[in-house]
Amino acid sequence: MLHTIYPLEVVLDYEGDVEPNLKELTFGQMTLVVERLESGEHRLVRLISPNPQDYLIGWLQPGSIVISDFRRQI
Amino acid sequence: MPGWESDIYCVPIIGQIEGHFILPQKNKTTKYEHIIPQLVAIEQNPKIRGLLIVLNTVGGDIEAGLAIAEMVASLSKPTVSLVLGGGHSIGLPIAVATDYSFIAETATITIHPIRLTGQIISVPQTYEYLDKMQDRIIRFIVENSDITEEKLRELMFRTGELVRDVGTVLIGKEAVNVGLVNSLGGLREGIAMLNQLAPVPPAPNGEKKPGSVK
Repeated sequence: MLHTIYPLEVVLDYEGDVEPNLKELTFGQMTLVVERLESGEHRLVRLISPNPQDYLIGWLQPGSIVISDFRRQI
Repeated sequence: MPGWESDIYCVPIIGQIEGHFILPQKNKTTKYEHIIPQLVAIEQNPKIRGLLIVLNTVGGDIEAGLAIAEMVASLSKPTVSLVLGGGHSIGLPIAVATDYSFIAETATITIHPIRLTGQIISVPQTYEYLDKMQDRIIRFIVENSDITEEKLRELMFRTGELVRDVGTVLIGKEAVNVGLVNSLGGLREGIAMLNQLAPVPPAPNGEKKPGSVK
């Protein structure tokens, strides 16, 4: 249930949305749910990890571009 | 300075607080499933001495919002919130959940009842459910701020202020006057309050660090 000042017909307007192409990549205990973009890059949608400290890692925030072969970004 | 690691963690709550289902892409969202483990990590991490929550949100999922608010309220480390732009709807419980709250002069908080839309089964139980949800939110706000339940309900159900709804818009100082937010303030005040609540101990070699006690 949404409690927001925006009219729900504006918030829940799914028109034009494309079904995201989601993949799960697992590295040890960490699972990255990524979305493949048209450019070939992968964007992090969701991080799933039993270690809470992983959620503080800067480049693992939802929306970050993570490369599919999991090279660490500097 | 690039590479300087902050010992204050900042969590922005922006746009729609996204909860149990994914919202259309045009919405900017705060993903609560990322915020919750972050709060666990902040509680655990010895390098983090306090939490600053910066809010500019239009509200969102009730349960996700309350989950974040409850987690913030139960953190043992000092917490400060800063309402900028807007702290509307379910953003308000998060704003009051911290040890100390600030609101910028131009920021607004909209207080209004929760609404159920779409197909509903029109029996008394539906309305009792709405009432219970409403009471949950009111109870949390009253327990975590200086506003009375009577005043909060009066603001929530006031007619004539909002165009499409009942409720009230509070701007800056008004939120302080009714006892919802502690003080008017901005970034400077927010950081100063965190430094006061969670002072940085001086470094062993006498080097002065930002926010350290003299």
